[in-house]
Amino acid sequence: MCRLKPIIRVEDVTFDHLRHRASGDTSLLDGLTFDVFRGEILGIIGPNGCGKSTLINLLSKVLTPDSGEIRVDAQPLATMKQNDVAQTIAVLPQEISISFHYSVEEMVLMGRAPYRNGLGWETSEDYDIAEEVLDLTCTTLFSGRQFLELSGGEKCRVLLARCMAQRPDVFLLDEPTANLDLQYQTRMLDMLVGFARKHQSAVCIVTHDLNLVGEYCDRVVALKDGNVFRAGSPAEVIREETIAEVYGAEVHIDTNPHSGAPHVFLKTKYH
Amino acid sequence: MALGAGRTQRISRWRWGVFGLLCVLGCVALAAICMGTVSISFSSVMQILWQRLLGGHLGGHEQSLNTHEIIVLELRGPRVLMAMLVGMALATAGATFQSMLRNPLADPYLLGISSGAACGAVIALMLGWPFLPLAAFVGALLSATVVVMIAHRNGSMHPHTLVLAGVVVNAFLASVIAVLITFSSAEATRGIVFWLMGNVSTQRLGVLGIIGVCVCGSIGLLFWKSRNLDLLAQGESVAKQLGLEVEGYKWFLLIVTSLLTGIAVAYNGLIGFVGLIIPHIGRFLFGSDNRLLIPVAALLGGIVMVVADTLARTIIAPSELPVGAITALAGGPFFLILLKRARHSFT
Repeated sequence: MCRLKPIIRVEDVTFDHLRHRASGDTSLLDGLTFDVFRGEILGIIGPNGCGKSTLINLLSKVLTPDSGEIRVDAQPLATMKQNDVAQTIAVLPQEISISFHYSVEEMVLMGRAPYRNGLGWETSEDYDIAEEVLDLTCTTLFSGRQFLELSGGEKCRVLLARCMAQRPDVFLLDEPTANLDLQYQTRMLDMLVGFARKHQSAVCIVTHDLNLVGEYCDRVVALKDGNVFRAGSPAEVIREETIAEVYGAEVHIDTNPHSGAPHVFLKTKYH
Repeated sequence: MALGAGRTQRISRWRWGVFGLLCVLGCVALAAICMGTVSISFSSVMQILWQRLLGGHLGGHEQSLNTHEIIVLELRGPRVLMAMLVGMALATAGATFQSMLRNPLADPYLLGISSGAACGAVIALMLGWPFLPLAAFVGALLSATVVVMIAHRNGSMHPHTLVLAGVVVNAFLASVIAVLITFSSAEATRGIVFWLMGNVSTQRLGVLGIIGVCVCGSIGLLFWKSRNLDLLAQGESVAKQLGLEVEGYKWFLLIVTSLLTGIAVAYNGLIGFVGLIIPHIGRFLFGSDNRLLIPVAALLGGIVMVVADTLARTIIAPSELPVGAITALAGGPFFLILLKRARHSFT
């Protein structure tokens, strides 16, 4: 289904953390090459510090690669305006630190900023879109509240709504479930996958939660030492040998009787 | 449905907020012209302004001005206008810095940007350059660049750290000014020291016109690009992911805010805390949306400075307090409250 055109093409990208230490990244990408196809759900996994967050920043043009090229819809990212990038790629950050009170509604409407210039007064279309995504993320109830007063999970859902308001071709989600409870983990991802399929958008889930990747992703890319260690379907990548090599952790892998997806069981010392 | 109502509500809030504050500003300015050592009745102030500024040419011959007319047109009027412009400039610069640095404690005075402007102006004075405001602008731009570079070296920094950086920049520039003053004559020294304390100066109407165009033009530019301030307030990475060309926009902000600070300092010396307090009052009244906050901060700044300056020249009339002292007296405690709150919210 996803052997269509790649929406994002990462070719031989190198990124040296030493030259960019100011940005707080400590990872190193070395000749990274992979594609993201239109409409697919892609999982990106790898150990701490392997460059997952850097990769998100490179794909959203927050950082520029030292060498190599990233193409979005066949157009080099380097020649695209930030505005056009934001219309194509939306990022769900792990956390956000703001100092002033913005209401949930205001936060979500900022997702429409890439489509407006100048003063950017929102049109009624923007309000319709905001209303829709607030509804989908179950945040309509507190759309009038201040963002800073919300709980971690509520903030995460509001930021997800903002990403959806950007109407992107690609969602980049950085640990999307870290702050969500069990109910909302499945609810939000089910909803987002449905939304992405409807709009032909790709979803890249960058996460440590391998079971989540197994359940939702069409394809998985495992990063190690700044490069793709293995790519393929969840059943091909989430295997005991691969996990041992990528994470250096021993696990037992079985299948989820409910969905048939690979499921990781931890091997702890005391059992 | 609820949100559609939000849209009209927001627009009407913008209109009424700006319109209401404009009216208040006008009333406060007129009242300020009435008040002083010689108090002039409201009706005669209106009459003088009406005749001289609007219907002056109809009067035919140029009559010589009587005392009240001189007071209104050449002394108090220009002074009130200047106070208004300074307040507008400093408050808008403060609001911009707070959003740009994501720091509720940011203010051109506390960050050392006013000191930079003062330093530039003092150097221009000593060397006898005629373009005092230009030198102040360059000084402000240099110190603002340093402060912003410090602030952005490590992504998101604690607000207190930035204020500490401002303290250091301030202390450094204060000693530079002190050294410079040592080399100047006693009379020049007194002038400089008085000017540094912060006084609203009285300028000719022509000069005021130029200042007015610069200040209002700068505020207009900031307002025109004010949506981007909301994005920048989310953090630089997030702002980029929402489509903002961060680097260019930051330079734009630095140049425009330095221009505002430079003009304010060149004519009126160091007036602190206006840029700190006013944006917070604006946010309290109208929320953080910068498209509303920028004009609101400008108007509130004008109102507060006119009031402060009127107090400065009437409390111990016929002599005068430096208006910088009044704003600092009101602003110091306010700053401490903010400091305490910032400690709670940033852990």
